[in-house]
Formats: sequence, C-alpha cells, structure tokens
Amino acid sequence: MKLMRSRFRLIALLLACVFLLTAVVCTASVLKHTGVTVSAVQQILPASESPSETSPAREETTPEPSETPDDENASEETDIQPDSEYNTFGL
Amino acid sequence: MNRQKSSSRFRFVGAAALLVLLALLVPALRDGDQRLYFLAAGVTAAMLLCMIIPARLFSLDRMILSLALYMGAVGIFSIAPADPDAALMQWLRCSVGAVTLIIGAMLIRVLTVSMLTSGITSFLGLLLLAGGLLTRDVTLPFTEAGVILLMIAFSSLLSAHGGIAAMIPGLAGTALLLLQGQTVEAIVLALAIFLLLWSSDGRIIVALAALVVFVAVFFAARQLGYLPPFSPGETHTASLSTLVSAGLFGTEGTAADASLPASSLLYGLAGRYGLVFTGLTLLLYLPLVLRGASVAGSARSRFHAVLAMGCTLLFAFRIPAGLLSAFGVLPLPISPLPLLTDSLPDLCAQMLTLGLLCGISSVNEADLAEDAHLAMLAK
Repeated sequence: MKLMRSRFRLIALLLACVFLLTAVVCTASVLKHTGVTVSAVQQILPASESPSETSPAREETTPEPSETPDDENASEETDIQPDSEYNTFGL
Repeated sequence: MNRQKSSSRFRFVGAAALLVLLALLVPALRDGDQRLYFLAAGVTAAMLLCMIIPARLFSLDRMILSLALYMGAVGIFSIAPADPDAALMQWLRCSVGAVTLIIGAMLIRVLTVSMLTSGITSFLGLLLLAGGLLTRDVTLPFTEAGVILLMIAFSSLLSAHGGIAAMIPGLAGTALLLLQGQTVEAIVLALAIFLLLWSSDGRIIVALAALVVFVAVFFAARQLGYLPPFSPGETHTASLSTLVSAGLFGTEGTAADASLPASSLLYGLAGRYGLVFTGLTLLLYLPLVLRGASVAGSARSRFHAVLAMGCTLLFAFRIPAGLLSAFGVLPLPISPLPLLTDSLPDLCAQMLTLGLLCGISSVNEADLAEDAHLAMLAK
C-alpha cells in the first residue's frame, strides 16, 4: 500500500503536468492560428526594454514572407538585406 | 481546521452560484425571456440545495460535488442565451446526472471485493461495449458507462487475484472499443489500466507485459484498419477556427460549424464567453482531478484505492484528449469534454464516476472518525 500511495502521488503529479502542458500547447495552437509567431514576440520584447538600442534593428528587419501579402512588394522596393548579426538572434 | 476548509468550500459554492445566477439573469433581463428567468432561479437553487441537503445526508465530498455542479451549470448557461429550450433540457440532464452521482456514492458501500462483483460488472461492461457491434443499425451511447463498469471489475480482480487476472476484462474492453472505432476511449482505458497495474502491482514484469499486450492490440487494430488515419482533417481545422473566431472575450454571433460534434458544449461556451473565460473554467478540472487522486491516496482498502485512482484517470485523460483534438493539435476524433456534453448517458457515466469518488471519500472520512474514536477510548 505504501508503494502504491507513492506511485499514486507520482501519477497525480504526472496528471498536473499533462494539464499544464495541454494548456500551453492549446495556447500555442491558438496563437499560431491567429498569426502570432515567436519572432513577432521577440521583436516586441527588446523594444520595450531599451528602445534606443533596438530601434535601428527594427528598421532593418524585414518581416517573414508568409506573414502579410505586401511583404514581397516591400522587399522589392527597399531591397535591404537583413543584417547577419540580427539573424543569429532570429530577428 | 475542518471548519475552515468547509467554510472555504462554501465560499466557492457561493461564488459559483452567484456567477451562474448572473450568467443566466443578464440575458434574461436583456431578452425578457421567461425561460431564462426560470433557469436563473432553478439552476442556482438546485446548486445550493444539492450542496446542503444530499452533501450532508450522504456525507458527499463537498469539493468534488461543488466542482461537478459548477461544471454542469457552465454547460447550461453556455447555451442558454442562444437556445433556452436546449438549456432547459440540459438542466434536466444535469438533474438526472446529480441523482446518478448520489447513486454512485451509495453504490460504493454495496460493492465488495468478490467474484460476484467482478463477474457481474465485467459481464455488464462488456455487454454494453459489445452492444454497438451486435446492433450495427442502432448507435448505443453507453460506451462510458461500460468503461466505468469494466474499471470496477478491474479494481475488484486486481485486489483479489492480482494483475494478470485483472488485465483480462480491460484488454477485452480495449479490443471492443477499437473494433467500434472508439479510439479515444480505447486509449484512455488502456492508459488507465497500464498506470494502475504499474502502481498497484509491485512487479514491473506485469506492467511491462501489459504494455506489450496493449501495444500489440493497437498495432493489430492498425493493421486491420480499425484505427482512423492519424492526420488532421477538415473537422480539426473547422474546430480550431470556430474556437479562435470566438476571440478572447467572446462574440454574440459565433456559430459552430455543422461538421463539429453537436454534443460538445465547448464551442457554445467559447463562442459566448471567449477563450479567457473558457480557459479559466477548464482549469477547474485540475483541482477536481487532484482531489480524486488525493481520495485514492487516502483510501484504506486496496479496492477503494485502485477504483478511486481508476475513476480519476478515466475522467482526467478525457480532458487533454478532448482539448488537444478540439484545438487541432492531435488528429484524434473530437470528443466532448467531461461534464460539458449534452449526451445523457455520457453525462450520467461521468457523474457516476464522480459519485464513486465521493463515496470513497466518505468511507475514508468514516475510517478516520473511527480511528479518532478508538484513540479517544484508548486514553
């Protein structure tokens, strides 16, 4: 009975983890469906911390091609290649 | 200490009843519909009465009871503004479910570890599961009831005869579920039985044998074509689109896609109140499941412990399965979440599961009271 109770506690912990994982995965699924990506969140986060340092980076950054239909036109007009330094951070 | 605990639970019930009253009264005042006024008064009064009279009369676990009643009420008020008649029917279903919960709590005092219990519950469980194969023209919605009966048989056999004997009804039930195409139920039953064998039977070889056998059964079902193709279909996309279109705080006019399962009340809840409220409501499943695990851990007899954990696992595994399929993450058939379904047999089976947990909890409390009495006499 003692072993069984300790394993029951382990199962309860497992169930709690499964619940939290389900919540995270479902939230991610909703965000993915609505078009909110991790790179978009990363673009927002440094800007809120130190706007003076990140503002040039945001100017040079081009959004991902699949996000908006106007991206192709924008990249053709400006013809600015993203800096390799920022690509290492996924920006 | 007990007074503090019961006071906090009563506060939860009070807050839940107030929320239910507001959720039904606001559309009633806006639309002036008599049925919504009736529902607002009736559902709130039924919740409070159930928490006072049967909970005291049958010593039911207040936390499980209050959470079960609240989830039932959520199912009612999620569809009430759009369809008051359907909400009235759902109220009746929940009332029948509440009676089933009390029956479940009483049933646990009758059930004992014996061959009679194992034989009857195994036979009835397998009969209910095989009913769908015997009558192909008529769909029998008694799958969950059959699974619960098989879990009672499994617990009784595991307590009396060990893991190998207990695996037989579980294995037969899983095979029958796979033959009917009930993949989610088959996975839930197989996982629950494997975890119970691992935790209850000390021998690792039995758990490994169970794992191998269940994998072989699923592999055979896959080879014979009884498992559906594991790829996201149009239903999953429509389901996710419906849930996302509800927005964070809900929209008045979100209509569920016709291809989605009509028995699921999740879409009505998300469409009316938004994803934030839906998420917060669904988080209430977690304390319900953890309370079930706690009841299993406190049980004195092996039969009660295994049965309580089995009921908890059966209830708990349906929640991620239902959510992950509804959000299009897992390519499983979309199934309604526990207590958020308009299928009367399923709702009754889920309430019976919670009733068994309430009954085991009351047996635990009676054991503790007896211990305290004996300790007092020894002094």
